[in-house]
Amino acid sequence: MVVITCLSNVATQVGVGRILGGSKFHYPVGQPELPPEEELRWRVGLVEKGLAALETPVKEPKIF
Amino acid sequence: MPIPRRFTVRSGAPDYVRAADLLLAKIKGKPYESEIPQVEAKQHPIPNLTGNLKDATVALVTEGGLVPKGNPDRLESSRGSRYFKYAIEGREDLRQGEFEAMHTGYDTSTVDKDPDRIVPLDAMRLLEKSKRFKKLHDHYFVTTGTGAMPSKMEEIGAGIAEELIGSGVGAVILTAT
Repeated sequence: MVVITCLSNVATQVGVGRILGGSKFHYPVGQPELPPEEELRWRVGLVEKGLAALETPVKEPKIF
Repeated sequence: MPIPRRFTVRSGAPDYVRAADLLLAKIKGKPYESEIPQVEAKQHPIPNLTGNLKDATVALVTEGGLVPKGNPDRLESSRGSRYFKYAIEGREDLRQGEFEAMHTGYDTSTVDKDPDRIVPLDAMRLLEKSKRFKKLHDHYFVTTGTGAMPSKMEEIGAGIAEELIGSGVGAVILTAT
C-alpha cells in the first residue's frame, strides 16, 4: 500500500510503509488551479510516483 | 483499546492555568507531563509487492468520505464506524454531481467539483490502459477518518484488507485528507 496524504507525520507515526506527499490536504490528488487537461496530466504523474513506490520494498516508513 | 468515556475530574487549578504552566515548563526546559495520554501505535509488518506490478490488480481506498450522491448507505461525516465499497467498473472518471464527500475534517467543495481529486480514478484508468498494472479493482473502498477511534479504524482496515485479498488485489493506493 502507498498512502497519498499531506499529513506525512501522522502516517509515519502510525507506521505506514510508503507515504507520498499530496497536493493540499483537502484535495490530495488535485490541482484545481490548473486547466483540466493539465490537472489530469499532473494527477497521472503523481499516481505514477505512487505506483513506483508500490514497487519499492521497504522495511519501515518511507516518504517518497 | 477500550472506548474512552467522558467524565468530570476535579483538578487543582483551572485549565488555562495548567496549560500556561505546562508551556512555561516546556519553554524553560523543565520536565513536564502532557495530560493527554500517549497512544502507542502498534507496530505491524509492512508488506511488499509480490511479483510484478504489471501482473497486479490495484485498488483505490480513501478515508476522504467520498460516496455516491445522496450518501445511500449513510456513511458518517466524522467518526466513521463502517466502510463501504462502490462500483467503478466501466467508469473512466468520477463526475461532479454523481459523487459527494461526507467528511467534516476538510472543506469538501473542491473534491465535490471533481471527485477524481480525492479518488484518482481518471489517472488510474489511463495508467491501466498503458498496462502499468494489470487491472484496476472494480470497487473503491471508503470510510471517514476524521475524529475516528484508532481501534475502530484498525477494524475497518482489517475488513477492507480481507475483502481486497479475497478479490485478488495485490496493491492499494490510499488517499487520506
